[in-house]
Parts: sequence; C-alpha cells; structure tokens
Amino acid sequence: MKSMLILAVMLFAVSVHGSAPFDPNVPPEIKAQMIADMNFIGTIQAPTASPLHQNIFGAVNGPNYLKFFDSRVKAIGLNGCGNPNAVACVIPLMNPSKMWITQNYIKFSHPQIARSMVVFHESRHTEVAHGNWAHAKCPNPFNDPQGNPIKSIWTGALLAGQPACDVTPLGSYGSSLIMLKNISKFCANCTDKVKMDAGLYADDQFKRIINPQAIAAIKQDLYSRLVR
Amino acid sequence: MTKKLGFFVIMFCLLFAGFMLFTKAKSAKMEDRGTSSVEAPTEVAPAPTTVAAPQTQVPGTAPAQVPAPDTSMIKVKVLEEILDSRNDNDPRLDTDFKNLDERDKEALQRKYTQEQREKLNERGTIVYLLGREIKSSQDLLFIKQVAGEPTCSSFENCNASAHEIDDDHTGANELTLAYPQVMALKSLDRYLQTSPQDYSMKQQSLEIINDAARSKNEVVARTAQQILDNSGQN
Repeated sequence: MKSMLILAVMLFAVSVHGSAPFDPNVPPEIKAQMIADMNFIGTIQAPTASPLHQNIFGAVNGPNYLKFFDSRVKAIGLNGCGNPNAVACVIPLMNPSKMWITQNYIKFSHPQIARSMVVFHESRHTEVAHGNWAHAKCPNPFNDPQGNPIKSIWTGALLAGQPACDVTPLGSYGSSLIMLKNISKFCANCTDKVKMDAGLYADDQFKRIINPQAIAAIKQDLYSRLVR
Repeated sequence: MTKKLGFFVIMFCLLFAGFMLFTKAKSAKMEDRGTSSVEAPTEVAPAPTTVAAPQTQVPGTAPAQVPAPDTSMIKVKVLEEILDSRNDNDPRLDTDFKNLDERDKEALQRKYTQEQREKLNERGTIVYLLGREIKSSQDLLFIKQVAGEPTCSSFENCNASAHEIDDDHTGANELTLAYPQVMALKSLDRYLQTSPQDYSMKQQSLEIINDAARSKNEVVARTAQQILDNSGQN
C-alpha cells in the first residue's frame, strides 16, 4: 500500500513536468535536479496547516504543492534572468506562464528547501490576474529590528526604495514564506534538517514583508512570538 | 458321520486360524511397545565442547575492554552519499548521525575542512550534524571556529570581492552564503534551549554568540542578535 502511494506520488510528479515541459536547451543536470526537488516536495505530508496556507495552497501536502505549481507554470526554460546571482525568474512580458531557470540552480549550493522556495516564489509571479503579484518598493529607510539599514550584501547598496518587498501576505515573498513556515512547523515526514532550513529561510524572507497589516496577519497565522 | 467330521474339521480350522491371529496381534502389540520404549531420546545430545579461550586476564585486574569498532569512515561515506544526492530529506540524516563518538566527530570535522568553501549546503549540513551533538567544551571549539569564519562573499568564489546586483531574485542568497555560520549559531541556540547544567559550557556558548553578534556579516550578526534577544540574554 505504502509503495503504491509512493509510486502514485512519483507518477504525479512526472506528470507535472509532463505538462510543464522543459525547453530542449535546459541542461539535463538542471532538469534532473528540478525534477528531484519537485519529487521531494511531492512527498511532503502534514496533519495540519495554518489558515493562510489553507487559503493559498490548501492542506500541507505534496500533491497540493505540485498542483499549485503545475496550474501556473506551463513551460520551463533557461535564462540568465538579468542577474548573475539569480536562480529563477518569470518574465511576464515574454511569457507569463513560463519559468526561467538559470545555471545557478545547480551551481549554487543552496539547501534543497531554499531552491524549492525560489521556484515557488517565482510561480506566484505567473498570476496575471493578480498583476503577477508585483513587488512593492522597500521603504526608505528600510531598517532591521536593531535599527540598522538593510542593505545588499553584494554591493552594500541600501535595499530602501528597491522593488524587493511585499505589502501582502499573499504575494511571492508571503506565500513562499508561509509554505516554508508550515513545512517547518508541521511536516510529518521531513528530516529535522529540512524543517530547520524551512524555518530559517521563512524567517529570513519575513523581513521583506513591510506592510503592518500583512506582518500582523502572518504573525497571527504562524508566529507565536516576534522573530523579525 | 461324514457331515459331523466335516463340521469338526471346519471348527478346528476356524479355531486354529483365530488362535494364530490372536498370537500375531499380541506379538505385534509387544513389538509396538518395544519400539515406543526406544523412541527418540528425550535427552539432547550434549553440545560439542568448545575450546575455552585462553585467559588473558591478569588475576586481580579488570577484564580487558574490547575497543568499539571505528565506524567513522562508514559515517563519512554515508554522508558523502547524501551530500552527492543533494537530497536534504534523506532519513539517514535523522538516524545515522546520532550519538557520535569522538572518532566520528573528528572524521566529520575533517570532512568539513576538506570541503570547498563554496559547498555551503554541504558544510552547513556537517555543522548541523555536529551541532546536534554538543556534549563537551571540545565540541564547542569546533562550533566557535565555524561561527567565527569569514562568510562566503560569492557562490563562485568565496574569497572574491562581490560586485553583483541584489534584487528580488536573490532573496535566498545572502542567507545561504552565511549558511555554515548560521547553522553553528542555531546549534548553539538549540543547545542553550536544553537548559544545560554545565555553567562553563553555557558561558562558552554565549560568548560565541556574543562575538557573532558583532560580526561584519549582517546575516550572522542578525541571527546571533535574535538568539540573544529570544533567550533573554540581552
């Protein structure tokens, strides 16, 4: 019974990528890694989910995540995404339902849940009906809880005023952090490392939510105490 | 007369036949009893005697301890398999690296130093495994060393100066670049949450976190500060 269930999940995962075909120029290693990552996501099971998670994805389980991804991403191609450090992107003007993966998907040594988070973040940007959940400009000044300005670790440039924040819990940052925080808190078949990583990256993404109501909604949904 | 004689002959034959049958049955019964009495022996044959091991114990001393087998190489091999697969959900991470002995820890620490600095998830995973097993000041020395390492500035080359663009597509990058250091700090956070009784080790842990809170790397400093804030140590 258990092996049949696993087989069913794997077949579902394959069908996801069957309907979201990879461009021929996507290197086989990237394709294999993405399928492996989606297979991992497809196995996730949890007995409960937060209300915001229910609203966005439904229950915390693999098939729901794959359905979410599959219904939004219809094609996967290779692109530089205009940034040497990007891992993935959606370029609505080219094709709002296509996700572009960069070589960094396998070149950069991210934890598996972080790679998956990036992909789900980008899948939210395919939603034309919601203006692709466009990002908001980070406030100016944009400080961390200790009062230090949040700046790029690459250039030292301030993120203040950059379109790299969200004002809603339902956008790309919010939805992916809600997904990860639920995995961190509720996943029944994840390793402790996956759950720890999911919590780390969820908490890290939280700083990109800048609207007080959105912050309060996420806190109420998932955080028993302030972690930002 | 002839009829009478015939009758007696028949009767004699019948009696003789009956006697023979009776005798045969009795003898068979006796044979059965005889067999059952020698049925499978109830006593188990004595086991072959073993040759006693030569006594190496010197009278008046404790028995010699057999050293535990060195499993550290097996653990490193399993770890390499997991890291190569890039599958962080391998259940062996939860089962095969618990209750590490000193040799296991040394082997994993060696593996950490052998990994390229750019192998951030790989290095962070090793820190995570060792950080879960903090039991002595020696264990804390390794965590201190990792937490104090300069963070990686670029995925391509940790030592390169970074001149890249930051936007919403690089959201996870800054955390991953400091992943081994963050794992070290999170390990200390977990350790402190167990309310350790060893005052010296607790102080040692807090010192490492306090040092990290002054790190030039914002992710490391922020993580350390959050731990201090949440633990009421600040």
